[in-house]
Amino acid sequence: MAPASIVLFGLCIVPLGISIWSSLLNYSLITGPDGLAIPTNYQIFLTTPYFWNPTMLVTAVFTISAVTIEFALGFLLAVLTSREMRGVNFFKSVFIVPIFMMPLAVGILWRYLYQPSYGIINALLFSLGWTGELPRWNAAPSTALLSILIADIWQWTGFMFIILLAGFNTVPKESMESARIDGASESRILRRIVIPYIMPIISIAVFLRLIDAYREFDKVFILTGGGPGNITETLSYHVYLQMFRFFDVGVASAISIFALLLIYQVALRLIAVLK
Amino acid sequence: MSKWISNTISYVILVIAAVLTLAPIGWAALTSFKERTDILVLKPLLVFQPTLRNYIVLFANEPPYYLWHVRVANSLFVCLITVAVCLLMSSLAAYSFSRFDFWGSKSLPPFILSFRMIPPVCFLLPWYLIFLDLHLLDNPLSLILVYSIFTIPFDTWMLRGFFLAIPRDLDEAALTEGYSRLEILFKIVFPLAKSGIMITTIFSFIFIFYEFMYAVVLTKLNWMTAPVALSRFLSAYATEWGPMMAATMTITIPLVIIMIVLRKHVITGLTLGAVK
Repeated sequence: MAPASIVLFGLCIVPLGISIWSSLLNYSLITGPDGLAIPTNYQIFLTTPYFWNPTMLVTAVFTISAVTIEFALGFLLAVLTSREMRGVNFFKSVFIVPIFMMPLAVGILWRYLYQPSYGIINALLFSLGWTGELPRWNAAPSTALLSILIADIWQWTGFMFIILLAGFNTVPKESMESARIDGASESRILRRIVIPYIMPIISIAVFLRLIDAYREFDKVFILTGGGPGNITETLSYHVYLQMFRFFDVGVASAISIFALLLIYQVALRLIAVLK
Repeated sequence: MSKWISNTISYVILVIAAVLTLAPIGWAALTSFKERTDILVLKPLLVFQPTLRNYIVLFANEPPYYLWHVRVANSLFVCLITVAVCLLMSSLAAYSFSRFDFWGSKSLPPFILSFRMIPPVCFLLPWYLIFLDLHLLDNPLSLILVYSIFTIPFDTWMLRGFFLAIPRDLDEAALTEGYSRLEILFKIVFPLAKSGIMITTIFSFIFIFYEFMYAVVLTKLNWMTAPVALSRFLSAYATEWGPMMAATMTITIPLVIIMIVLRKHVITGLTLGAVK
C-alpha cells in the first residue's frame, strides 16, 4: 500500500506543481522561463474570445453529444440483444470490436473513409444518387466536428453497450417475471424496473465516457488537426497547440490547470446528482 | 405487437448496426491487400488483384518510417514492463484497501481514481520539461514512468473491486495457519481473482499500447512506439494508405480475436470494476 501511494503522489504532485508554477510565468519553450507573467496567463486566455468560441464550445458540444448519442445507441443495442432470440451472442461480439482498436487507428481509418475523392463513404453516397456536391467531411467547416463525432460514436458505443448489457444481467429475473405475469408491457418493465435498478451502472458508464470524451485528443489530431481553421480545437488539442506550436508553455499550463479544475468540478456535481 | 414482428424489427436494427460496425474494418482489411493504383480510384473496387506488398513493405528498412516490427517491439516492451510493475504495486495497494480499515481506506480510492480524470495534457508539459533536463527523451524509462501514473490508479481501482469479492474468511483462516499477509496475497487471493487480474492486465495493456499523446512527445526516432509510427504514415506529400491499413490490421486483428474469445470475462470484468 505504501509503495503505490508514494509513487503515485510523487509522480503526480511534482508535475502538478511544475504545471502550476509554469502557468504563472512568461514561459517560452524556446527561451525558457522569463519571470512572472503580467497580465497573468490565466487572464490572457480567459479573455480571449477565441478560447470560448470555438475551443470551449467545441469541447462542450463534442463531449455532451458523444456521450448522449453513445448512451442512446448503446442502450438500444443492449435492449435488443437482451431479448431471447437466436444469434444475439454474435451481435454482442460484433459491437464491442471497435473499442479495442487504437483510437489513433480509428482516426486514420475514418480519415481514409472520409476522403472526398477515393473514400468509400462519398462513393457510396454518389452511387445512391446524391446530387450536387459531396460533403467534404473532415475538411469542411460544417461537417468537421460531425466527422470526429461519428468516428467517436462508432468506436465507443460498444463501451456503453457492454456495460449496460452487464447491468441488465444483474436485474433479478423474478421481478421481471412477476411484472410480466401481472400483464405489464415490455416497455413498462423497462422503465419502471430495469432502469432504476441499474441506475448506478448507468451513472458509472456515463461518468467514464464523459471523462474520456472530454480528454479526447487522438481523433482530433488525426482527423482535422483542429481545423479547418480552428473550429474543431478541443481543449486537449488546444493545449497541445499552445505548447508545441506556439511554444507558450505558460498559457498552455494555465489552460491545462483550468481544464483539470473544470472537469473536477463537473465530475463532483455529476456524482452528487447521480448518487 | 406480435413477437414475430418485434423480433424481425430487432433483427433488422441489429444487422444494420453490425454492418455499420464491421464495414469500416472490413474495408480497411480489403485496402491492405490492394496495390496503390487500386486504392486511389474514384469508384472503390471490390474486385481487384490482391497483393501482399503492403505487408512486406512494413518490415523493410527503407523510408525511415517503416521498420514496423521495431516500433511494435518498442511498444510491447514499454507496455509489458509498465503493466508488470503497476500490477505489482497496485495489487499491494488494492489488497490493503480491500482488507484493512485505516483512515483513508474509504476516501482514498475515489481520490486515486480522480487521477484518471486528469486530461493527459495537464502533465504533458511538466513531464516534457523534466525529461528534457534529464536527457531522458527518447528513452523507454520516461514512457514507463508516465504511463505508471495513469495505470496505477486504474489497476488499483479494478483490483480492489475484485479483491473485495473474495471473502475475508479465507484470509482469517490462512492467518491462523501461520501465513504471512504477502503469502496470502500471492497464494490465495491471486488464484481466486485470476479472471479479474486478467481483465485488468488486458485493459491496462491496451490503454498503454494505444497511448499516443505522450508517446509522440516523449520519443524520437529510436524509441518510437507503434501509434506514433502509424501517424507518421500520414505525411504531407503522399499518404500511403495501403501500408497504413496493413499496419493497423496487424495490430487490430490479434486483439480483436482475443477479445471475442474472452467476451464473457470482459463483461464480468467491466461490471465488477464499474459497480465498485
